[in-house]
Amino acid sequence: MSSASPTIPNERYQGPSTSWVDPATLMRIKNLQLRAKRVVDGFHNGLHRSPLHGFSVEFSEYRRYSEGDDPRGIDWKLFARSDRYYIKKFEDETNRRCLLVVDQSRSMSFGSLEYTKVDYARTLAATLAYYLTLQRDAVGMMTFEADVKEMIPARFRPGQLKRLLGLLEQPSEGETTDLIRPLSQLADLARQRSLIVVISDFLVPLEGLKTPLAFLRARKHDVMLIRTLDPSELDLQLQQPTMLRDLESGREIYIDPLTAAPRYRERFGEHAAGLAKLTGQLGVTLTTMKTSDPLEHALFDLLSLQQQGKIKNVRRSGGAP
Amino acid sequence: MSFLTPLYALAAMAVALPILFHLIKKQPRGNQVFSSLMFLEPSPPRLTRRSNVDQWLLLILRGLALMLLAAAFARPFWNEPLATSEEQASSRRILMLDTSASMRRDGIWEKALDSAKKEIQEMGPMDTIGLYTFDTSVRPLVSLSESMELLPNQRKERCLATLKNLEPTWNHTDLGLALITASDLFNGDENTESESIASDGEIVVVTDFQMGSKLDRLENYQWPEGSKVKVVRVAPNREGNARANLQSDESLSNPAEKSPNNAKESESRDSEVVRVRVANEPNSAQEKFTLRWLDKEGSPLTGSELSIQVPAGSSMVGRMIAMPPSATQLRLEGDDASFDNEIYVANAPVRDYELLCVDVQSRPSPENLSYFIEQLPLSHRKRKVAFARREPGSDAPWSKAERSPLIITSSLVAMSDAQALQAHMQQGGHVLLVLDRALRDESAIAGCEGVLKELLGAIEVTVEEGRVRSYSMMQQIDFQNPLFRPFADSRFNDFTKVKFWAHRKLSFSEPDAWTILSRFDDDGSPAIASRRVGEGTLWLFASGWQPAESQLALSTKFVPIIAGIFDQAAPQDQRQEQWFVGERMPIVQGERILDPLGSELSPEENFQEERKEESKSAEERWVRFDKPGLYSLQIEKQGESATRSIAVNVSLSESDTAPADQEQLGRLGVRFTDQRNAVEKLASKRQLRAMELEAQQGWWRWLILGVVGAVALESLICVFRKSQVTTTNIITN
Repeated sequence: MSSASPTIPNERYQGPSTSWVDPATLMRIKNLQLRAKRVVDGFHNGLHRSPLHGFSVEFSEYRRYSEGDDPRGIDWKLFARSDRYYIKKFEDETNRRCLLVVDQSRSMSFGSLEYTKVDYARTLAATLAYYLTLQRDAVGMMTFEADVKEMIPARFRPGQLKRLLGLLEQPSEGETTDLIRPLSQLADLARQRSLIVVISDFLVPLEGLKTPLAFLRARKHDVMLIRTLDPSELDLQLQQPTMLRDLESGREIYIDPLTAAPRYRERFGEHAAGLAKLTGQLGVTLTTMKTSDPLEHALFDLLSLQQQGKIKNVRRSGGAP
Repeated sequence: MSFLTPLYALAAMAVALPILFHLIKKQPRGNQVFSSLMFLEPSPPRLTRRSNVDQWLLLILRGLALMLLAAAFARPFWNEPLATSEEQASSRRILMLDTSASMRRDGIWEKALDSAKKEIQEMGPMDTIGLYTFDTSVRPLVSLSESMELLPNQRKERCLATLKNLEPTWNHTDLGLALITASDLFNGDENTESESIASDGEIVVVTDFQMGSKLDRLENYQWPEGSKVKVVRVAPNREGNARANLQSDESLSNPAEKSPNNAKESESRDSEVVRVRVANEPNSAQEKFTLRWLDKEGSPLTGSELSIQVPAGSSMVGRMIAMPPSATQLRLEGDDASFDNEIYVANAPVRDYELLCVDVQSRPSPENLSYFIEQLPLSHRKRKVAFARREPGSDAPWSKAERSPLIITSSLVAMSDAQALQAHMQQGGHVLLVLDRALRDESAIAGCEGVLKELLGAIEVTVEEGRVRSYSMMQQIDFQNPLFRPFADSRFNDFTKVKFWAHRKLSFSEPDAWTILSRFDDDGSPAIASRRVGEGTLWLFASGWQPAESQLALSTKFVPIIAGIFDQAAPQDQRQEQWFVGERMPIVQGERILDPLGSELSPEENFQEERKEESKSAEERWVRFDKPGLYSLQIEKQGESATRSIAVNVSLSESDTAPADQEQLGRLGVRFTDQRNAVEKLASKRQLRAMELEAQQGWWRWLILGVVGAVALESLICVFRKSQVTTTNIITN
């Protein structure tokens, strides 16, 4: 497994990969919710062996007031009953507002495995949604192609997960990928501070990507880019000369792997490095996942990044009830 | 080598497909999709290099299979020199060449000869070719029977050689006759020849096919099934024609038709001008024409021109100076087609006659015979009849019988006159004695009988007053007699309106000598009778025509009766002066006709034989006019010789040169050799022959066998190679 992202922690590569669910096996499960549940369950099982044992984003309790705490967080009712100062951690303290942004353009329907990138991306989104819902986080979702296709605002309420999964199960008819416009529109739509997880292959020119990402960051959003790539896209696994047709533009070119592959790898690497550099500059988290990678890695990355403090959008501050 | 269905051979182009496929083979097998080509650059193509075709054997086998299949469907056969029955068969063809006067137009004759030569050249080598010319009649140049006697290779040469010396005539076109004659030539041959000869024949007509081609003869002709006509129309360099036509008898119009007041004036004016109708063809380019009288030498007479503008397709009548005595022809100038521009006109000799009426009272009165006779219109363009009255018993000298052929006299004639009248009859004159006075007493009867006795030389007739109750009518009219023959038609033979209030009763002692032309209905006595006296004739009218006697003078019968008697008294040469080329004129012994150059025309013996049965006179001979001009008829009779000029012109129908519609022939039942059909027929013959040859040779079966072999071999090689590749893959894996 290779990744162009410099932000992926090394821990992730330790441990036997067989402890995770094989994506190919997982993809055979038709039901998206079952798939997500299976991943999250497996992830939870795996946590026991995780070096990050004990960490949870779900944390809600009273604790004793100690000096330095914000007196606004003191539960005065409890003080009245017990005459002791307790700080009430509000529920929304852990209620993360997360918006999953899924690319459903045509380039995502490529896959050299039994499933395509978009299948993987949907499962990934479903897994994250399921996981975050379990944590009582408000989860929203947006799908886009060349434009924003559909959007469900981030909520935590009964049936939200079902709606999210329903949106994911809608067939995609998109053609071209245009990340810039959807991200620009997203900046308008997501007014509240959120964790924005963009799942896409990011096979777009990097020039225009900086502005919308910077805009999102400027609005205090935490942005996480999960780049899903097919294994064959990484190193152009062609055996013989082939006419390659662009899924988005329909353009056909003749490719002889002997001559074209080195150049491809070079340019792909440049693009990946450029993207990593861009995200690094903007403080955006970038995770690259091959479609053959276990999906739990994404959850793992999410948690590990949070642990590292890179995701800061959790409201630590308590508020008056 | 030929192909029965050569279009299928185009399928051989499909051989490009395997070649293409073999080249395409080097291209990637199908398209492979890829998420994005943004990191890829097209590799340089390596497809068109010839060396890329590595499966040469398969390519050749596949191409061969396709080629053989295409060839098999195209049904190839070797063209063997097989003489089919079609080529050996001979057909009969008649070439009819129009030699009418209209073929003298500008450039048309050369074209006609060229067309005729071309048609002859195009005829089959074994064809029996008859060459005929036609205009008024059909003349064989190389007849069908003559052509049959010749060797096949000599026929065309003979026909072509005959064409060289041909010239158009001045006759008019009778295309109907020509077609019927040609068709009958085929039918006539069919009756006599053996069945081996094809029953059908083609008539190729090279003609200008003008409107005046006279096709009416075909209306009553049942066109035979086998005869086909091909009309080759030749056109002159310049279409269009105009023709001048003298309106006949204009200059000698009938004075009786004019009112008495301006009769003289009209006559004088009409004698100076003549009406000429100029008709211009619809396709004519000229519109301005000049008419001019020409003298014998052909030089124009000054001051006789008439300029006239006639739009194409119409005709105009112009008045021009009547024919001067020195003129012989009228020329129409400004017309391109010059063959009919000269109109020859014969100056008919006008004879002067005198109609003498012996009657009392010079003063005109309806009670007198002469009052009505004076107004009789007996003049026409060949004679002028002047009226003269003579008192009975006058001493004035009598005119000769030639001068006054008919003398009409009343019953008041003097005995001295009767002698003169008798002498007149002896000279050949006619006398009409009208018993127009009632015989009231014996002396009157005796006087009348005395006159009759003097006229006849013997007492043959007894006269008495007829007893008429209220009125009497004529009956038993001899309509066979030339006098009453014009009334023979049922429209005119009603004489009941001619009532006689009084009449004389005649009885003849020698009734056989008399010709009784009519009788009265009351007592059956003769009303009109005639008898030869000497060289002349005595006519008797038993009643007068004055209103007091009868209604005869006021009836429409009067003028024809008197004119008929005068015509018998002064017989005219009925033969006309105007003839058309191609017509035949009867002449009798002592007459001869000189053509415009002065040489005598010889009678047509053949025609004379044909007409012998119809001809009244055994001596009658027929002379045919061959060209237009002014002929002269010389008559030698009883030691006297006279000359009449006869004008011969091109037939009027020949001037109608506008092209006719070929469908007109079709409507008359004529069957055409359609050019398109002929081509199709030839093509179908060839196709049949090709099918026959192909069926005999059957190459396609071998070719199909070759296809099967090639495909089988190709399949075997493919299977073999595939198994090799599979084995290699297994070993590699």
